[in-house]
Amino acid sequence: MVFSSHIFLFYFLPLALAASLLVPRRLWLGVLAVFSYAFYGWANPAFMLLMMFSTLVDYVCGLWLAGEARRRLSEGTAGRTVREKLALWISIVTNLSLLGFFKYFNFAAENYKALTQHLGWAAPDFFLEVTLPLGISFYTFQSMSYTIDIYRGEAKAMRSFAGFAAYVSMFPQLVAGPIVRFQTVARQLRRPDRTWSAFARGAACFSLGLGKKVLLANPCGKVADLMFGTDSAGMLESWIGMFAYSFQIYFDFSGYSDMAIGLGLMLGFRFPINFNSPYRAHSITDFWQRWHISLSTWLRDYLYIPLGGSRRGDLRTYANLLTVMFLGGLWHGASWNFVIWGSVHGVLLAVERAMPGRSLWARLPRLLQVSLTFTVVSLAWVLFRAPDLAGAMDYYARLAGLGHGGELAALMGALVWKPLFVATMILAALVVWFGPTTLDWSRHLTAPKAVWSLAVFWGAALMLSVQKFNPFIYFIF
Amino acid sequence: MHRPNVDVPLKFPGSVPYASGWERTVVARPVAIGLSIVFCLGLLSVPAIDAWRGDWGAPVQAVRSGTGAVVRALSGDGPWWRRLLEANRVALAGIKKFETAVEDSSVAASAVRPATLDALLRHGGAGSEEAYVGGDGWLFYRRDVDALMRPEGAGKRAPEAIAEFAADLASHGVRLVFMPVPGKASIHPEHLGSGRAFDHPLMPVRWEALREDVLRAWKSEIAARGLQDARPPVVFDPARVLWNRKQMSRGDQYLATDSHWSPEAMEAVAADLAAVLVAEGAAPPMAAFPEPGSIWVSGLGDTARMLELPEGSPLRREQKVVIRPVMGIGGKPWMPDRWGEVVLLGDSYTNIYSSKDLGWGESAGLAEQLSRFLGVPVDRISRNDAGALEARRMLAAAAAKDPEWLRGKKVVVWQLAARELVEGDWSPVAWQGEVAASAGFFVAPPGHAVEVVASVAGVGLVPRPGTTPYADFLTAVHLTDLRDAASGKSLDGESLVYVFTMRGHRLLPEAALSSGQRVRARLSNYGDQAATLDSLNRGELDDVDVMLETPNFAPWIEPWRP
Repeated sequence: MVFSSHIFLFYFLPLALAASLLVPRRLWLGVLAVFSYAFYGWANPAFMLLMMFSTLVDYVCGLWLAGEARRRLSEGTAGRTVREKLALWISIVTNLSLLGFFKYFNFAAENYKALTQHLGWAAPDFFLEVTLPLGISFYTFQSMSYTIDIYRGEAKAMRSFAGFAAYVSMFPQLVAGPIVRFQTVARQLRRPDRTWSAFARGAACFSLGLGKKVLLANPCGKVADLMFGTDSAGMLESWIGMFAYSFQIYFDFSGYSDMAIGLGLMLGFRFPINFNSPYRAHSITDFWQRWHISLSTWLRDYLYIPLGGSRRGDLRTYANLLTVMFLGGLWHGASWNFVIWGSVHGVLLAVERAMPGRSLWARLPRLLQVSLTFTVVSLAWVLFRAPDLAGAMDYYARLAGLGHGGELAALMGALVWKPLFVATMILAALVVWFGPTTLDWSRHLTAPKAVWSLAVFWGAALMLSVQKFNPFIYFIF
Repeated sequence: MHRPNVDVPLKFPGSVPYASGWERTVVARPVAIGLSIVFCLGLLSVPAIDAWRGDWGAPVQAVRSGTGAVVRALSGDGPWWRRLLEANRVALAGIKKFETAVEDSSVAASAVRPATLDALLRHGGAGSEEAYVGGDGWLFYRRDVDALMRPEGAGKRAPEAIAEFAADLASHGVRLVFMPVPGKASIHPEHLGSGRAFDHPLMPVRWEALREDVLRAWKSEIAARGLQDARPPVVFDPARVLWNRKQMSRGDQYLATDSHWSPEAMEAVAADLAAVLVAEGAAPPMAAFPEPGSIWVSGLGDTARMLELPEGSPLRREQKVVIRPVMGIGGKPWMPDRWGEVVLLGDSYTNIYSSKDLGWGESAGLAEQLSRFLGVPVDRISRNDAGALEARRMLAAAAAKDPEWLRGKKVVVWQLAARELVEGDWSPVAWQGEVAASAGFFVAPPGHAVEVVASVAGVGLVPRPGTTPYADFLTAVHLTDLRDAASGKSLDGESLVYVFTMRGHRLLPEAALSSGQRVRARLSNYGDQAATLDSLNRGELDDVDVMLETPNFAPWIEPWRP
């Protein structure tokens, strides 16, 4: 189910909110899990079984880890026991195997087939075409962090299976994050934080998120779709298409995060923030501290630091950055485009780290730094949006003025220079560079802001009435 | 709830650094309560309005049929895992159907949709998911425009498929004339708002090379089949005729809010096509035909109708055109002639001005005008939309059912929308030999209707209203275990049935039919109404063998309640 759909907004959400208020507290987590499974099963009922399996494995491993830790402490044994390590590895291997199979099987099979063809061998005929379960990248990371944190002694195991199932499947952030670590919501799972102020702020965040998605991301997406769906666009229109996609992906994803955070607040949870005006970043390093924060923090804490982080010399640090961003790219999608996208960011992070404090970059005016960072990030988004590597290369050629748009470029121009698109792009730019984040804006909630958030909600609802389907970009990850 | 907070610190568990920002919410108590309540009332208002004024027939029907389908899948034959997979598949289909039904039957959404769309189109200028709007209020069917932008590689198989089809026909002694009709934006980019002046029509990619590509594919095709003496297919280009007319200031070649050509433009193309057929020796020489009279018809374009714009919208303006209905022998309206040597295989460009369902009069379409200019009877097989695959399938099916029919033909003119070249389905179509009606398939006797009780074994596509410019839609349904509704006596096993699932852009209860459902239906002989049904676009069954059977027409099918 999609947040920006009629069925979610006007049927599922009122029911879920009513349940959160009316159901006795001891039953609440079970009811939340039922709602979350219904939300998830709406996309494909079979996926529920997979999530239930992952949940069950981590729940059992969590209890096992906690029991072993208790025994170890009571016996005064130093260091982790073999059984603790086994429990941790069962959880990690199970989650990564699920992710690996469902997300990367087709990719691996395609590449294997291409390789064998290239070598002149008989091409294998794979009989499986694996369907990617929605949100698997998110909930496996989330679920895995639970057992890792228990192993590290940073979280306590949850006794209630319904509670743990509610944590893994929590519908507000299940499909596209933010990735919520267990200790972040552990207390709220036991005792939801429900106040008028939280509910009102949640409603405001949700409304603004919906507005970001429907009023900004979708029109920008139309411009991007036009430009990426043809090879007839001219150079200027191609640049506009690229920036339109930058705006689309930001407002789409941050809009989703705002809606998730808003829903969380209305249901009594506080999720971590996921975006902090990323296009105002003055470097790629700064960008990654502002973009998809819950993922970059997860990668930092569970991959970069265990690899040694920056503690083992410069070369090792660069290698770690490259590894993390390579895997981060692969996490986003099973295609070479994502791998290259992640690797490009990894190289840029390493280069920035290698640059001396008084480099040419550091001496540039901040405005130029921000503009160049945004342009570089946007250029990298081309890899994200293009259907394949060849498509991305074609698009880069067009950006460089080497395309063969010809006369149809004039027609493309006629389709893009429309009042709605021009106004949306200008508005998007203003919000990106001058607007407050949703979190800051909603911190001090005044009456005019309340009216404004309701107006945005209904404006978005009106737009939804003329749109058929509203998938979020990050749903496919 | 707890006592409402004013300036209440929201404690965040743990000390996760990136969670900063949640430290406090500052909100006055009345604002917090007011916003929360108004927000919730807003969420509830839509289901409340829908419950009060809405028609819940379709969603309820979707739930019933979906639940029934899941139960039947679970209790069916086969191993448990296969039943589970099937149940999952039908459950998913049921969920989608239910969600669509809820959205489409929402009174609240329907009430605001036309005005919102009108404002977006008129002031935003950006078009909708189905249409682009031009600077002067012209509406363009989005698929026609998008086809022009499609990148290299789209429709790669088209030349091979055309050559294969031409060779299939050639093996029966019939020559193919291929005629892709350009979309409105190809001839009138200026109405779309393009400031640039063009000196030729804008066509989809690889159009320039199409003729050579088809001939190249044709050569290898006839070499493989040993048909070296066969005459190659002709690629006829109506865009040139339309463009020349436009350049000679003969006005607009297309209707303002419809996706099709104007009657005069269509007539000009028919005249040119007739001349080409005669010159190529593909048809007998022209003979005089009585000059038709003129009739004014006014209508609203299919694109405007599809968008369901509000009454009074400047984009919803009716247009008046003059059509020239062709009279057949004895002054009766022209009819396709089953024994005509020329067959026109076409889509809605053929049906407009001929089929009154398209709203622009009748007896004055492309087949009629072609017949008039040629001076000979013309046979016609036409169906709106999907000209790349459906047209070939229809002709192959007609030939399979009655080989005698094809033996009398000399030329097949295959007209289709040019967008099909890049977005059409160019899969190969198998020409099966003569197919006799299967013994197990029931066909209602001509002139009679039979009420039956049966099980649904398969249902073809059902469109979503507002996504197709055609107002009516037929869906193929495969019925099994047929019994006479009155006597309970078993009939001839199975039946292929066409039923309306959409009329006037509105879904009918039949749109909720699903596999495994037990239904009651009234079946009549399809041939009785073929003249009106044949041209309508439809959702066929995936089962090609069933599609070769003689169909029935069902005016209604409803769930059976014993």
